[in-house]
Amino acid sequence: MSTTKKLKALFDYQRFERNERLQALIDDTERRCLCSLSDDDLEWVSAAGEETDLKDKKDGKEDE
Amino acid sequence: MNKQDTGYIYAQYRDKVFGFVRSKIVNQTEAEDIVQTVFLKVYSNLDKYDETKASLSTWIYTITRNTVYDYLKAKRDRPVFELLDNTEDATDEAPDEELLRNETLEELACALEKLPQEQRDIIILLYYKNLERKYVAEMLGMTYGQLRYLHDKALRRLGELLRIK
Repeated sequence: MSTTKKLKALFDYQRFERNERLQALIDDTERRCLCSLSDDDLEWVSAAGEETDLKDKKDGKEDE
Repeated sequence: MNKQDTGYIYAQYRDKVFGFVRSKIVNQTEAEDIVQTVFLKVYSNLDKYDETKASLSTWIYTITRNTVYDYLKAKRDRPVFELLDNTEDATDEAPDEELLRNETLEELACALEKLPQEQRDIIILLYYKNLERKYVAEMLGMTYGQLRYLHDKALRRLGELLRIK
């Protein structure tokens, strides 16, 4: 399994298991990086802030 | 207490199941319906649960994940796409159950702690928050090229640090 697939699987599992140490790192990143989002940006972020591709939603296209 | 007691299972896993479902499904009513579906599946398949193959937690997580992704996939196929969610993962293959252990999450946390903060942010924003690369670059005040360089560097380091098979 590739590192990217492992990361996707593990971060998905984290939404269920909520390992405290990992959650602290996630919360820290969210606090520093996402607090500056504008109201327009925030409307694209779900309560848990996932599965939402801000730029894609704005552009209406995928970028892969 | 017997782990196969449905009351125990509901009390023990309700928050975890709901937390996962709610992170994927924006609409609360739909999320609650899915949680109910998950527990119905769990209860009706308890006799098939084999504790030698997976922990109860992993087994319930797998049912939860599959139920959510099946729902998202079905919804995506409807004529009007009304989810906020990006359902890209709905087609992803199911992860190896060996990967799904709290110890592995601990290992990931440990590996992430060893990354420079900027690289850790990139990994979390891309793989947990599922934000698009160009947007993350903009958010972190770097060029797209810089982000790709740091992302690749972080992935290589994580590949070395994570001894997950």
